Amino acid sequence: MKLFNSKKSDNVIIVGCGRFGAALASTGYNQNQNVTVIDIYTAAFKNLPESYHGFSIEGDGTDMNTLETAGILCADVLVAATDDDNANLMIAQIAKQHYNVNHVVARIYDDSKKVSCDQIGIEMVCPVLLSISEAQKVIFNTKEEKAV
Amino acid sequence: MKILLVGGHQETRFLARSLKLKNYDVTVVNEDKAWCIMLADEYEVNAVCGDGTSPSILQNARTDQMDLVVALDHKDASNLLTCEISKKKFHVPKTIAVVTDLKNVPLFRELGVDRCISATNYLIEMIEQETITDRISRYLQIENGKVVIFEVEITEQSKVINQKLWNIGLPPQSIISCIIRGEQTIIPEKNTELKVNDKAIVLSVSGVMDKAMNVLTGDKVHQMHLSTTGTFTFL
Repeated sequence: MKLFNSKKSDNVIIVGCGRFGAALASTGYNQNQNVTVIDIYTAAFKNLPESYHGFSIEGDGTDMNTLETAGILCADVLVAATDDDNANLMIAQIAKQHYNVNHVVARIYDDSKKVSCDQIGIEMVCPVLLSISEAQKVIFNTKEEKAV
Repeated sequence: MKILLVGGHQETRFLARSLKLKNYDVTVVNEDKAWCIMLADEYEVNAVCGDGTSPSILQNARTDQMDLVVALDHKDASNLLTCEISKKKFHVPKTIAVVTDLKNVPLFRELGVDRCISATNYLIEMIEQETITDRISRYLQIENGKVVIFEVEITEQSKVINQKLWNIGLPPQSIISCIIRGEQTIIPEKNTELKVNDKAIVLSVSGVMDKAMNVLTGDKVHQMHLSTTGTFTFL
């Protein structure tokens, strides 16, 4: 999946400025996207590299006022990357169903919670599943090498 | 009827007790193990310890057999997810979410929760009713506050005394539906006149409530208190 396609999308909103959110924000910014990061704590913005000069907003990402301040009305991409699965799912649903944002991604640790994601078109990133598939690749490759 | 109470603390306890007294089949899901044990011992409810937003925990609580799920957690996001999983995965016919942020009430309905209860909303309603009781004895909201019925006492200061109803200039979308004069109740016609000490029962949309009241009482003191009523129209 390509989040930041070559065509300049209107707005990219990233909720949650942890390692994942901050890194994603800076990648987007380096690719000349119009990036806005939201976090409930200002302290989280120190995760952003110094080269980042996009927007950052302190506020609760599940609050529609905060999302509107961040420009969700003309946003093309929203990534919900807070440390709380439930909040991420709520933010993603608000973005998809209430504001009709094109690409909505939710980072979810516990993949059993994704009941309605597929139906309404929220894309899910699950670190555990990704780690498993990466680990399997490594294990498979080493086995193959031994066999040779 | 089988009811599942998810999350919450003291409120779950009192809710469980009163539901149990009315012979409902009550199950609670709570993360606090000691609290689960207490509820199970004290009120003989079924208790499941765990995260109420996790499908496997809800499965253990036999959510699929429930008639009603009530999500009482203090986080709105958790309550949304609990209701959603109950509805979509376990096909529970009715879900109720307790909501802290008033803005989430219309949002949760849009996202498929059957009913939202907002303690903040009730508090605001009560405060408003208190604030305006000096002139209106009672008022009642209909259709989530889009329409209101209220009672105005016609005092001597009022400028509408002895005037015919068609002449007093009530704003559009408001009518006097009934006049109480002592023991008498009058369903007014356009030639009915208002007298001192009449109680007028007014039916109006919430937006013109303060205007209608100003016409009847003859002052504008109350405009400020009532302007907040407008916020209810979207609920």
